[in-house]
Amino acid sequence: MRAVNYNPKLRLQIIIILVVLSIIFNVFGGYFTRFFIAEIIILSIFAISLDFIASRGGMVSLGHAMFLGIGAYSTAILSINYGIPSFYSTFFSIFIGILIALFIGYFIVLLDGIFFIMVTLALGEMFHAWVFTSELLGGSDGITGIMRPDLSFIGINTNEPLIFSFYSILWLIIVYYLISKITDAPLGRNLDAIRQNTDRISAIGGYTKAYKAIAFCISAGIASLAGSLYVQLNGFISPELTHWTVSGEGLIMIIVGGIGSISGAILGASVVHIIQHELSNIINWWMFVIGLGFILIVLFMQDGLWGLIEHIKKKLGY
Amino acid sequence: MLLIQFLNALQFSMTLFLLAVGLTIIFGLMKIVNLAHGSLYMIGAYVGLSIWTYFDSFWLAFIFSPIITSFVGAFLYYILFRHIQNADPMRQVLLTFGLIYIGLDSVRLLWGTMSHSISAPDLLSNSIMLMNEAYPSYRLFVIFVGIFVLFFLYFILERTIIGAKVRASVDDPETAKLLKINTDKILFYTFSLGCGLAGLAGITVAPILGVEPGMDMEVLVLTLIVVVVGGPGSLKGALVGALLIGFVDSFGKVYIPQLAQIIIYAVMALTLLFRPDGLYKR
Repeated sequence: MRAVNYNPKLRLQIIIILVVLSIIFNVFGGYFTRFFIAEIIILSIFAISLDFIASRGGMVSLGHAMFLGIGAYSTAILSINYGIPSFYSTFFSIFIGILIALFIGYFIVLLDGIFFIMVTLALGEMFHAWVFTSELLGGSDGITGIMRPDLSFIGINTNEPLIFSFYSILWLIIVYYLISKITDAPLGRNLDAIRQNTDRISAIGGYTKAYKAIAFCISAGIASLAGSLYVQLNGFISPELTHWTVSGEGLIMIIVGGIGSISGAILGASVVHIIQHELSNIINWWMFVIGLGFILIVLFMQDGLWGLIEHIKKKLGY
Repeated sequence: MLLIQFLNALQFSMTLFLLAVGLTIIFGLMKIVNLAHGSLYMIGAYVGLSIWTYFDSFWLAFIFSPIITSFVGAFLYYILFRHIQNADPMRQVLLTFGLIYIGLDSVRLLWGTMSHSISAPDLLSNSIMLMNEAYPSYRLFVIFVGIFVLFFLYFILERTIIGAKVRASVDDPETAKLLKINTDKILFYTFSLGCGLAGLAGITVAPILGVEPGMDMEVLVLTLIVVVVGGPGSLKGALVGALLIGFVDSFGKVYIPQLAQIIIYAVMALTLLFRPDGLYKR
């Protein structure tokens, strides 16, 4: 895979603009806007997790919705069956996601390109099939009645959409901070090197498998976080969330935004989700248009919106 | 009872084989995983449905729907696939992912969301007695189609000049080009053939499984598993993988129904554990 977008300054500028925009819309928007923003932010977290392994690790996962599902279902099970407050179960679900990723990653991280895609797709579908039939996880009906985190000890009520959106924004900022630090740290640099030439790195004594496995785990943990937040936002979870097309749409989001630039993933998630939502209100055959859009983006927008922004900035002379 | 199950498993395996062989040939030549392969299978079934409805002849549908599907494939190759041959895997996969959406919505717009059924031709609509058990003769016909395609492809690939050229282009495209083999043309025809086989699978199973939107997704993952287990790009791998997955799935559903959903994935995981490149590596 070719070199990916990397420009820490622009990255920071874009995320600041996006966060400020989301706060403004959140404060002045109505109930649905706030709900919608929280949804976009959760998708952005998911997109960041995909962006991280696809761009830094060179692993394109079509089964990442599995981790979204693992996060969501663990939160649901922990908070309903075991009575653990959902704030804490978020952390537990991240932990569970990482553990499962460690187990899976041990076997699959060294598979190359297309094989990795097919195997993650099949594993994700295995999870989907299992969820669909599992009685513990509510089968095709899913699970309902998950509570949002109880933060009343600091005097706020997360059942307000306004507050929950802010809560998600907070998580987004944490994830952004974490991933941008990792990208700039030796781990990120190592991953860049491994992606560009795996054989050479192992020839000079680098731990390719360990680094790739770590990247896979980090990404899975973040996807689990997104799942956990998703289930708290909606209050229910259905197996649809774990279908592989969710991962596919996530990958489209990062292509739209620009691969490798963490903020691009957020930008892409916002744009794709808004277009999907608006289009499905206007026309009946929106899936046709979306599919066509995906194809055109893949064919003609190499660096996505991020590339466009960089191009405009260059034109303006910054 | 066992014989019936055996034949059912064989019939399912042959359907999988028809699908997987198209996908695996395309993968072998172009190194592209065509996620829209399931959509072509669906289009094959729907085109067959239309022909069957208008001309009231299953055999016309059986002959012309694979041909029309291969034209669809040729069209897709011409406008899309030949441009992304050297792109990275992610872009290739996402492009075919976009095609799934288009395929699904096109079918919905053209044929509606109702599920339809095609009845088997008169010749094959009755049952045959096999060891005191009645077995629908149409299912035997599906097995026969699968075996016929297998031998046909084997003959073409191993015993003809065209097949030799295809094998050369798979193994070493650059040397093949130096030897004045037109690899682009071979890619084009093989891609169309692969798509046509998906259409053939669609119309062949239509009398058994019916025709409905969403049938593409049901087979896509199974087909991918067959290809992964068998080893991408290998004809023999597609056959062995299809038989393995088909039999494990059919018998698993009867003997251990509570694990039926997961067992084929377990087979895939085990295969990958011991043979990361599939059973038959190219």
